[in-house]
Amino acid sequence: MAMKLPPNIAKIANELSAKNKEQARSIDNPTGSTAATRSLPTNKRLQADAYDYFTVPGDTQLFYSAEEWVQISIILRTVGPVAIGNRGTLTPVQSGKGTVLVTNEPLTMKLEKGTRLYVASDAVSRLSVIIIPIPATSEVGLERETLNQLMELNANIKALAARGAR
Amino acid sequence: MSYPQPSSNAAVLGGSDFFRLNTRLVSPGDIYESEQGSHAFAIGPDSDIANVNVFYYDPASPASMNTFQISPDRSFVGTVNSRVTENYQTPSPIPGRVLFAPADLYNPFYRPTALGYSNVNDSISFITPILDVVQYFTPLPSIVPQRIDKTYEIERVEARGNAGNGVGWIVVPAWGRKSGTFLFKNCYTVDLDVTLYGVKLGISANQSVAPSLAFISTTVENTLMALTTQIPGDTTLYTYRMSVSGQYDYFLMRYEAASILGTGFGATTHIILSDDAL
Repeated sequence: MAMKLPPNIAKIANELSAKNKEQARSIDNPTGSTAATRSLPTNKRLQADAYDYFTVPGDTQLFYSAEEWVQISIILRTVGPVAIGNRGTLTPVQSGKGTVLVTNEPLTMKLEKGTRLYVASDAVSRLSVIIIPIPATSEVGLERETLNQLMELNANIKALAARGAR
Repeated sequence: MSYPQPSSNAAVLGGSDFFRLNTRLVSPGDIYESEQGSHAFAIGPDSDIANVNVFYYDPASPASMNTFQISPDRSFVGTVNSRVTENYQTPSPIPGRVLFAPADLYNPFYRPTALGYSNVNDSISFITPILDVVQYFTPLPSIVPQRIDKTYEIERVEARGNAGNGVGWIVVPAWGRKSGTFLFKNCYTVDLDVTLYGVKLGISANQSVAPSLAFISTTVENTLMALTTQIPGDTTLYTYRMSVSGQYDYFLMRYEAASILGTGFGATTHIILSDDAL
């Protein structure tokens, strides 16, 4: 049987959950199509991304262009050979102009804003790519401010709960 | 051989961590290709062909082509790249894909003429051999490429051949098999003669003809089970052991009945072939 919260605590809990992105998501359905999720303030520029990339054998191709500072991890899921590098020409693949990926061993790099990565391969290959943005210092500050507000709300809840218990 | 050939790229795009070339052979000159490299090669479980040549791009080798052979007893573990952007240094350059070709001799036009085969009266049927090779896309420490024990159930035998007065022959793949059992049963109402041979193909020394199947000649047709006359309802079991009888490319069975048999159903043969030595 679900516990019924006193109205004042429920109000604070709602406020808290509205500030907490993950909790707000968990309240709504996982499709994220509810009004609450849609109104959730997100910074798309700072969203992590993960996807699979299939190489096309032949000439060197642009693989990723960093619009912000990011940490990128690339994992070769097949045999390759696949070369990754900053140069616009990486062919022949095993010439050393780029680094040749090793199957199932992640290559992780931090990319400065504006950096471009190129790819060249000799066979159709599957690459798993994980991109994690590195927020600027000002953005980290904002996150801290939000965290402080959440901690303050949490303290308020505890205080109210203690008052209700008396 | 199925057209188009199975695509190793499709295996990559589909998220598989291996590619399996599983196809029926058409001719002894069949060559198959893969645009994917591999961390290991092995004979697949369904293969009738026991020995397969693998060719790959290697700039340090003559014609930039190197080769190794895999068999049920010997897989190959090591990274081999497919280099589709490079060319083999062959007279007519071809991309540096990985190529597969059976190392075992196969002749779909084999006829047991030395055993009295008649082109006019006799019938001959082949179990078409399967080539099964597996490429692994992830590193493996080792592989034991065990083939399955192949089972054949033959229910229809033309024991009077095509014309009703000949002999029926059936050819079964035997490459690399080390043991097996053959169970013959006569369900006809007349006597049935059954004989089992082991056939070893060889390369002909005849240089007077253009390269063709004429180069594949029969060198050995050994009798494994002598002519056995089965009365109606009779069952005969023959156990094959490589250590006793030798190893062959084909098992050849000869069926002959003394009278017209009508539909041809009635003589059944149950065969199990294994890579395990008895």
